[in-house]
Amino acid sequence: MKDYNANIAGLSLGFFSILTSIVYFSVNPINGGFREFIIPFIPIANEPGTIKFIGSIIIAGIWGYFLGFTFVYIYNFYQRKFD
Amino acid sequence: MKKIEPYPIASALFFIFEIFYIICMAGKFILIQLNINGFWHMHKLWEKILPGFNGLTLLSFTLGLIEVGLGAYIAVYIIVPTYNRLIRNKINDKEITRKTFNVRFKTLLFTILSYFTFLFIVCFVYDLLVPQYLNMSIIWKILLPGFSDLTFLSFLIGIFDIIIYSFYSASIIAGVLNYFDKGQVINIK
Repeated sequence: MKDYNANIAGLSLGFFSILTSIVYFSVNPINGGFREFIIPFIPIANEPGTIKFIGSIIIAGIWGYFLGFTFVYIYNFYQRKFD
Repeated sequence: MKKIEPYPIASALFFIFEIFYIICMAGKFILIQLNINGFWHMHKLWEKILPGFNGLTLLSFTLGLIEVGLGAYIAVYIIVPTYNRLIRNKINDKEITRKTFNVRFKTLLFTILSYFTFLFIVCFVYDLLVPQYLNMSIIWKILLPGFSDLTFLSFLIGIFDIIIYSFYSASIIAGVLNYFDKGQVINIK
């Protein structure tokens, strides 16, 4: 039986990623602008401008969706297998 | 489909992060005492993500401990209610299912292992193709002790680390969820 909805789990984690990235990108210029870990995942994160800022947040949301969806999809697969 | 009760999940994540944090810091502290450098980088992760945390001092350690615990609860109390709100129209299952530790542990172990192995392999292959400043393995180099470059030996060490992490995470999550199962229904349907 499929217990959890992978699509909605992805959306939930995507929403969380968007919130986190807004906080991170807002606070980051204040604490020194360290983005070494973010650049590989969001290549436009280091570029100035409102469009790039919004783009970075959208990419963070897509990453969140992908990670949440994949996890629950795999979980459902193994649950069907072992239950 | 099920709604999820956030408190057990938050508690599981709390224990996972707190124990992981203590191991990261204790490992670094012990290796410094033994004059071993260049192997253990996991404390760097906390330096980047925890406000006010700046090294191996007692104050920083305590501050980090509080922030990691709070972070676990905040993350779960944002993600799970969002999930429950989005799924509320699709709930049709009225039965309550309780799972044994073994079933839950096995499912979680294979899920976490497959999930992180998949991500690790994708990042590893991607990094072989792109310039160094776009290497996603920067995050794995911090999280996986012994994983240092894009060689086959490093890859095997990384997979070994992921197996250890998967056992650790699955045991804690299954243990905490089963503990809450005894006292209350964790899946509200």
